[in-house]
Amino acid sequence: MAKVKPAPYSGYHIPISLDTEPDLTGVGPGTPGGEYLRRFWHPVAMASELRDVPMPIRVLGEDLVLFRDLSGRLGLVHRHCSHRGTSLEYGIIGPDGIRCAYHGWKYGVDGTVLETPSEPPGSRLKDSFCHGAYRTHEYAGLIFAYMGPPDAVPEFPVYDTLVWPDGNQLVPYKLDMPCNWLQVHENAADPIHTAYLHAIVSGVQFTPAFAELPELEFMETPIGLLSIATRRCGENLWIRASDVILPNVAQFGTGFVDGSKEKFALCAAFTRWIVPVDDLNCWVIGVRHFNPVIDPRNEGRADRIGLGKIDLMGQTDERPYADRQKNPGDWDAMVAQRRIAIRANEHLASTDKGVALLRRQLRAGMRDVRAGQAPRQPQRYPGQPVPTYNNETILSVPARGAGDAAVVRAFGHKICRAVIDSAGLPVGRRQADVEQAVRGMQQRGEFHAAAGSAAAVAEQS
Amino acid sequence: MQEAIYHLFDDGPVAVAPYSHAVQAGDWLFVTGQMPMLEDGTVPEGIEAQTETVVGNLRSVMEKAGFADADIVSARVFLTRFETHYERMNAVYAALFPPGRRPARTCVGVTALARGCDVEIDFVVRRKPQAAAISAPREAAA
Repeated sequence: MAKVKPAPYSGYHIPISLDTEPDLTGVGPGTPGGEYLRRFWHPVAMASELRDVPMPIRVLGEDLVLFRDLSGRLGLVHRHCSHRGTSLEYGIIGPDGIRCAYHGWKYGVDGTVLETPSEPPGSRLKDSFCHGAYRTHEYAGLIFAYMGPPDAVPEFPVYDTLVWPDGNQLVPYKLDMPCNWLQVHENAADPIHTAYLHAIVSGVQFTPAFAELPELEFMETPIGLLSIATRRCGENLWIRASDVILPNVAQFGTGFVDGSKEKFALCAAFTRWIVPVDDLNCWVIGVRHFNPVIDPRNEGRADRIGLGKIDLMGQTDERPYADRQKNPGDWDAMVAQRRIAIRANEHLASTDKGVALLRRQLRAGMRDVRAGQAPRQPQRYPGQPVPTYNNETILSVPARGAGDAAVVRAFGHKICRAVIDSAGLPVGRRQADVEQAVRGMQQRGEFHAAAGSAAAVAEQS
Repeated sequence: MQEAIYHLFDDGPVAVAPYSHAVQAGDWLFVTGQMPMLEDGTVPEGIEAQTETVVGNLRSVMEKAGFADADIVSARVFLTRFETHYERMNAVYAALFPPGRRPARTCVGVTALARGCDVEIDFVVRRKPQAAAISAPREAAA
């Protein structure tokens, strides 16, 4: 049947779906999304949050407690005692695990039942089962967990941005989002919003440079996709290329680019995970990077980063509602997509190719897991951190009359292609080599040339 | 006994309700609870920046009332999200007063504050004794 465009004032005829697509958005045990996500390491707390008592947390819809025993080992175990179910948040932490307050059963950090004190001597009860526990790993002030099958633990991915440049300082942070994780993650693959939400519609939230509408491109990478927004800033062109890393990681450049100074930063200002608490809540949890390559003017504010805070406007609900209505930020836009965004009601447009690509990649991963296969993990090179592709590049490429949009596109494309193709080089040398290659392209006028040949092809076809 | 002086400043912090910015009773200044509003009427994001803004607004009222270097005797702090903001507010608040000169303080969690704000602070301030002697003639003439 032909689709008839509804007339104005026809809300009555326009159906609103209520389908939250649990197969895509659900995170609990046994759901396609939840099983897929359980094949990866996720940060579940800032190390600084963990005190000398057990910390109750919910992750991927599971109620857990996180604790550090008196020998310094981290434990992440099912919250409810295997005996009679009281919460181990009231457990007593000892040198070798945690003891339930109710009847004194004691568990090691790996879930081994160490004691069932009121059982008769010789009882083998404690050897007959294990309490639920998950592997943990502490890195960069964050506590990570792996909640998948214990016989398929992936190597912990240290991304190159975390260790380069030398002396890179990492400041952890964690923000609460009362909505499903996927809509928050999708925002990373939707760079056109940075022009509208952060500049044109709401008023300038980061810098005025964001108000220039970018040329967009989305490239697949060995770890996910690269979301590329390239803008003109006077004589300069500016690439803001953000890694969207499977399944739930993203990296970004700074929020304070004004486009006036040349820069080649093959690194990141933010590396963060969107970790589902349950279907209706998630954390933005990760690290801010402090180094002179990404932030040469030292504009970051380490004192504004931590639990519930980040040095970028609009990432929390910590402004009055009246202010947020007049000048909404990322938090407002994402949380307001409904508690779980309903994709059946969307009208995806030409600028949403990144969102569509991300969903295809995630669905493919979920299908793999469902078919009993290991999902795609980050490509690795021996002895090297995992290469990533985030870059903030600003170079002088003056406009030459009409057709500048093609030059802007060619600039973003050629530089990000070079960044992706360099993945196998060792960290450090890679950044230097790509910068040299990029400078060569700039000096040879390759962006104008590429734009010219693209225009010629377009005319012929 | 001197009459109270009701201070309302055209260039003071945005007044969000029918009040005076401060009321002076002799050497004492009772400063109205201030909100975290910047000069343009907006509120900065984050309890840290909001706490700094509130105390900045309180100090600006003290200054305009001629109590710039007076003793801040007591403060009351009101928070709408006590559990998430108490420690973060304290971290900033502590740095806003010289150690050993912190006002007596009461901090309470409340259900709501004017304009949807998350923090409000008020001060009671007393003029230092020598400063009181100098300012007395000006007050008498007013």
